[in-house]
Amino acid sequence: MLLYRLFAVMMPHRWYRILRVRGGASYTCAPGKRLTGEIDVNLRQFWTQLLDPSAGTVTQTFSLADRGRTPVVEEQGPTLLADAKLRAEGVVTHIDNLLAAAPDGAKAMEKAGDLSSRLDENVARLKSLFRMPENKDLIIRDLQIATQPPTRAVVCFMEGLADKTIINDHIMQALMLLAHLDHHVDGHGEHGPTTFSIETVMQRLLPGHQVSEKYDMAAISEGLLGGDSILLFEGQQTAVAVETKGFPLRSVSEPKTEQAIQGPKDGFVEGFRVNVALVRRRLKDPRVVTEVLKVGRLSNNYVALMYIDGITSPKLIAEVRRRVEGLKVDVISGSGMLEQYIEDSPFSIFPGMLTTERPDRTAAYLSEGHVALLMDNSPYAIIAPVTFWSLLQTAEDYYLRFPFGPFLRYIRVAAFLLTVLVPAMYVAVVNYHQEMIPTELMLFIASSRELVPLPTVVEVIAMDLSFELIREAGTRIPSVIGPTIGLVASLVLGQAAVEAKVISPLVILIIAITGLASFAIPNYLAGFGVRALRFFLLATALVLGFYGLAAGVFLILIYMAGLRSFGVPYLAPVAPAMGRSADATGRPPLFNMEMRPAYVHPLDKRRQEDVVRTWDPAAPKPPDKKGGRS
Amino acid sequence: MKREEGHIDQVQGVMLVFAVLSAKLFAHYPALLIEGAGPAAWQAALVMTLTAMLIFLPSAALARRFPGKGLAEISESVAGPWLGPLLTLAVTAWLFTSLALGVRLLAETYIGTMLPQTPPSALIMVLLFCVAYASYRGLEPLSRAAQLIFPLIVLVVVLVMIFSMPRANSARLLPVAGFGLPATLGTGLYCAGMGAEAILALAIGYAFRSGKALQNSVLLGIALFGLFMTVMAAVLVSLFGAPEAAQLPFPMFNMSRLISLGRFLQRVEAITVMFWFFAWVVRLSALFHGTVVSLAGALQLPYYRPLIFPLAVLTMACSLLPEDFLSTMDLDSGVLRPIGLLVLALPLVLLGLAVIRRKGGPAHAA
Repeated sequence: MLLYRLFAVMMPHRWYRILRVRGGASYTCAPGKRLTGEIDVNLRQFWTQLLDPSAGTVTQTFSLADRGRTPVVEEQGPTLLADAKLRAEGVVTHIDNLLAAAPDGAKAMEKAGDLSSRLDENVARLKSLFRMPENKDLIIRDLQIATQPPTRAVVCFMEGLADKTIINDHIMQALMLLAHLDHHVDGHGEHGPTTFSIETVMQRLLPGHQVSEKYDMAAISEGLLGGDSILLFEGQQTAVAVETKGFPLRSVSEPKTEQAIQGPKDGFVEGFRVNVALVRRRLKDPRVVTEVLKVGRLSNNYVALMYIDGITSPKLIAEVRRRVEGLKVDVISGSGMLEQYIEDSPFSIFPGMLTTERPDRTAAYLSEGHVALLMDNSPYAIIAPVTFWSLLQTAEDYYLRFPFGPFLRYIRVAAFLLTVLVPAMYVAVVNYHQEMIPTELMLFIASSRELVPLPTVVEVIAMDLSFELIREAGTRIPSVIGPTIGLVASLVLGQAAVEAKVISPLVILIIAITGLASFAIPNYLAGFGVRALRFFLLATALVLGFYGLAAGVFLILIYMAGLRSFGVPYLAPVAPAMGRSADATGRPPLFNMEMRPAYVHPLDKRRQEDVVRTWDPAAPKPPDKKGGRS
Repeated sequence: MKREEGHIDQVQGVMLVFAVLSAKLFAHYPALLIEGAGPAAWQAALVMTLTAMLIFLPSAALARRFPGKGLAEISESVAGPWLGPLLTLAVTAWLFTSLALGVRLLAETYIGTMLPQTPPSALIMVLLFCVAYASYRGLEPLSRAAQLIFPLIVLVVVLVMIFSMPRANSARLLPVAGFGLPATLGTGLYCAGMGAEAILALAIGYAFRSGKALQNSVLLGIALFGLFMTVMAAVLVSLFGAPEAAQLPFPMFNMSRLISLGRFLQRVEAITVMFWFFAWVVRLSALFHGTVVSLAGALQLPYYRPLIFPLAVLTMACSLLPEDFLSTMDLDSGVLRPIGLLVLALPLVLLGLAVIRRKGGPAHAA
């Protein structure tokens, strides 16, 4: 015992904690101090547990694994059993209802769901389905409808998803207070008090603009989770859903990443219905179709599939629909996730679909024969298919007058080439091909690099990584101080690096040009691919100079030429050349863009007549129907 | 063989054939013409072009007789299951030799101009990785890449010619008849083998949408190549004179070195050589792909991809066999090109057999 006391006093606190846990003794000690005082250690237990560590680790630490205890699956037994019972009840009720409806014909059988005619039974199943009473989100309100005789009913809705004002004014008030004012006219022309029926409730009592019947628990659940209010009635196997959606939603505001000086200023928000409306405002045509699909077994998120019937290729629509409907996944929270699930090449460094937060751009793509996916909870539209050139385009290109719109595109193509090639070319020239530098420039480079101890490639990579760091930090820092911090960081970092003779001034210039050019690429997702390419080409140029650089460029070309987006070659309409549309690297005058892009295989290939400016005396006159020209 | 490689249209076909042939503009081939015909090299280039187009006509007729089929399938269909694959293997062997020598030529060219300290094996390995990757991705991406590279090649060749023109002297093109008409005709006919790679189009004939598209692609591609070769020969002679130009192994490189406009447009040879690589790598990728699909067809394999890696290794080994750059050039111009004429004659044999045995026919022609 004396030895143990001595041992305990000598050893650090951390070791003793282990001993204490193993030995089962209780002891306290201030952290960081050596132990003094009495120790009660069960020696036998200590040695047993030292030899068999698993013996003493029963309840001290929390773990989600079973650690020798009853498996979690078994603990879930009662819950699973309750679920099975719920489903079994539903099936039995459904069969009963079907048998009861069979004599009345097929129409009655279609309406036979799994709802019971006993209100309490339906409410109990609903509560069980929504895990009440633990779950507090489902609100169930009992009421008496003021018909003659009064009818018992309940109103159910999800807290936060439904608008309570609508529920109070258009459901509760209508059913509880105003129903008794309503009098029907019987067959003899006499007025009498209203008697209860589902038709009466829907047609005379509920003033809501979207009211529908529901016959089974699954449809009720779907309606509730979508923000509807559900009415269940005593003695009825039919429920009534009233549209009362009212969840909090950001108002329409300016796009954050796709601003246009000349174009409209509205951008998508997180509500897909609002987004669909923003697109529809720009395409006032009855052929514009919005299909609503659902993705995610848990998230049950709505996805609006938009296209123009008669223009968009039916094969494209079917393929997009097939991919979205075929997803077997629990949760898809946003368009970024959906895109990864349905794109052609998920490992590609370039995006396989175009995301935009501009309704005008979405409408323009729809009018060309593309398909748009608008996901609930996501302020982006996904456009399919996409080509590489569309990643370098902006909405503004079309709003600017002819000479300047295409000019901006050429600038962006040049920016893409600059940001990808400039660091690699610099490394190749300085390391391998000094002979191609004019003498004066070579002397300047040599003098500026004289005191720099690092190899050129290390300089370039260090500065490039620093730039990426500043960019990433600038994105994460709160927006008020973000730009300032970015500016200060880049200025200070560059200046300090040059003054410390760690980096040569020319490298700062190279990285500045590269960084600036990378910001000219309008698509945020494509920016990642461009950065990857830059580092790849830097590596190839480092190994074999221009030979390696050319090899790298060729590999990238082959890689990109093999990519497809929903069956469309990624480099179309340039390679392969497709159709008369030159709307890729350049942009023809709007009045000369007669055809839709051929690569989307639109059903209607022409988007405007050959002669659009019919008023223009210089424009060729359309041929007269009688022959000759007017 | 499974046809999962998609299709190439006529425009892509022209650009692919041109890219395959145009790589020769950057190598020692113009010097061959000048060596044989002197100041009349440009006339020899015209003769060469017309001859190459004529020699290809039987191949075109064969392709029209068997639309949507490659050389391996046509051979097997016409010459039977034993002789057919043997004929295909003969063409494959020529394509493979052309590939191996081309790989070595490109590596030696870079060592001679820009990367003198680099071992050829390093350059060849990188090159073959590109080539094998292109073949792995398939014919469609390769033809699209050729479509993108085509304008770059044309632009570089035209710009180099234009910017080096201030040093040109038209008097060097005299006498117009050069070494005489027989020498001009002989050189033109001998060099017609330069267009022998057009047989490649027959090897990948299954990818063309129709026999007519294949025929037009190849004939237009050869014509375009001939046009550039003619101008190149004339410009080279006017710049350097026939005796010196006949000794130039890298004519485009030497022309680029002459460029000096103002104080900024100078020393552009490194940039030129980079585009040189693009032309060569498309050429070699197409040759590699043609070789690998023909081999798979001759061996009646269901798909070509398993052959890519072994063939790449074999190509590397064979490309290192020639002793040096000069022996590689000698092998290419002294052995490979004349045999190329025989290779182009092979479709004529197949066509004759097809007519005699009544295989294919106008009913199947596109």
